[in-house]
Amino acid sequence: MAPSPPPILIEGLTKRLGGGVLAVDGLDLVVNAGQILGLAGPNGAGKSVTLKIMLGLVRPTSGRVELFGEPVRPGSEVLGRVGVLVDGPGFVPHLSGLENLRLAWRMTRRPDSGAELERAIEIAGLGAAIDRRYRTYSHGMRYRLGLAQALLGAPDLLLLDEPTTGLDPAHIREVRDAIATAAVHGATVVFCSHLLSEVERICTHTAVVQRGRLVASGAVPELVGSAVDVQLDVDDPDRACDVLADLATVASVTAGAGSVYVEGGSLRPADLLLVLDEASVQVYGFRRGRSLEDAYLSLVGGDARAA
Amino acid sequence: MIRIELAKQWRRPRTLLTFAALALFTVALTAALAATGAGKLERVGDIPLLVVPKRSGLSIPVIALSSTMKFFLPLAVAVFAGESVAGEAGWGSLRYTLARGVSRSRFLFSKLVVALLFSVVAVVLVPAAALAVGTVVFGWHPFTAIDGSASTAMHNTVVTFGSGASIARLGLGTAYVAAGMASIFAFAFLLSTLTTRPFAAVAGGVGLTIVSRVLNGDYLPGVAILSPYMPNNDVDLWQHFFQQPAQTSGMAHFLVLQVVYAGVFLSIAWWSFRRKDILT
Repeated sequence: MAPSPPPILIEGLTKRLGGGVLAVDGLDLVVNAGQILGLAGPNGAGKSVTLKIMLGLVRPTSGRVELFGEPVRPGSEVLGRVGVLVDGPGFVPHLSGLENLRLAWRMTRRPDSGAELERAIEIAGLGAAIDRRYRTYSHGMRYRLGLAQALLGAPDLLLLDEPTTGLDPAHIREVRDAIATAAVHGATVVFCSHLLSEVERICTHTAVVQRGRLVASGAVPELVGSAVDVQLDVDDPDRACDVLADLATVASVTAGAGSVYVEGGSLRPADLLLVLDEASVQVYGFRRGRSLEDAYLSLVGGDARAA
Repeated sequence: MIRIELAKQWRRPRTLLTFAALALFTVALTAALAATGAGKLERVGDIPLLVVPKRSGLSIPVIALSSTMKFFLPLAVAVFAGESVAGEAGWGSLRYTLARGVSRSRFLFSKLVVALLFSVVAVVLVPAAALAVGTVVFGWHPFTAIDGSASTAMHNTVVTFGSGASIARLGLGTAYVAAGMASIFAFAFLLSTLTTRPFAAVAGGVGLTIVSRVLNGDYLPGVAILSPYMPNNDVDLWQHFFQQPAQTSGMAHFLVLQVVYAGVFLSIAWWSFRRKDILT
């Protein structure tokens, strides 16, 4: 059997916006079925524009975008298989949440029975408020309705741009669970977020975009485990740097704000702690490996702070 | 898609408010006319047509249509056309609708049809409501007017139409006014596809009406050469239906002008919207 085409195939994608700004610059990206891809990158990196090109909302300057093997154009039928939450929720303010969900589904021209409306209502978790006018909803309620709308009809591909913005921790967990559930049922998910801890928690893969280009991609453990081996929180990073650099097992050591990052083939934590103690450097914390956030910051560097 | 668009728009507060305001205007107009002295003549349009409102309820729609065709109706039409696409962009639901695989043309067509329907309802509502209110207040009698253009100082030419003839001429007049809104409608609709601020599109439609009104050879002789091409100036020619015999000169020119303006504006709207990047 021939392998089915990937849910997302992007090749050489370029988008020049008005004013000549290059929002996407030769982006290549393949997302395979069943992946939960976290799309990370500083503000203005081109994540949102890329999503809009995938939805046929924005015309690429050049390059190829295919969903499930079908090229995307405005009004492509394949878009009926995609659930979206991008740039925040957008609904008709004078209609109720339920009426808005019904209208959203009718636009797909798929049969009513496939909408799984009950499940969507459950995900929205709005209770009786589902029959209230949308304009009366709070920020969090609007986002939850937006997520419910994206999950209508159990889409094969979910594109979620910052779906947890402004939600409280309990609802963030619900969003996470909903994404996980969708993935278990076979959906492929692309999840843009600034909260890298979120990405690390729920995503199987990560792609880091910077200035419209892909700077790193791969499975989350690969990306995280690639460089730094030990992180030590200390009172005097510069002095710690000096003494650790003298150890034979240390390949490199860099000082951060309140921490040092140590790399080496066969590091022994006890050795590190011993030399630091002898040099009277206070150690407050010790961590093996690094978080996705560390990996991300080392990839995008100063851009992340500038953004 | 048209049914979806109708579901979105008909319960919209702004839609209902616009219809209510137009209906209320005819009530206020009738009340004002009822309060003026018995037998007072109302001057209608440039012909001039002088009617005695209290003599028949049939005169009220003629006065109502004359007093709304140059501002209230263009405003209502500009609201429906200008809000259509830009309003959706303002709600943030435009990107979701188009991301559902709805083609741009189909989307635009549904917007056009519904805005057009509401605009026609607005134009028809004014004489219809005025006729209803007028008949209740002043009764159902033949329509009588003095045709100022055919009258001399010594002799008034009085024209009288039975109820059937009045309704027929009123119907034709209403259709003419509705068609005369086409240029404003199309211009506001075009702006609606270009901006994400509905107010700008509505204001643009009203602005076109005002420009048309200002560049009028009747008031500014210097621009007389432009007058025949202004999109809204000749919307009042329907009043000549109430002369005896009915005068139709200039109407065909004006209607062709509407078709040309509407065709140009809508073509640009289609052309640009199908290529537009939806970034909001």
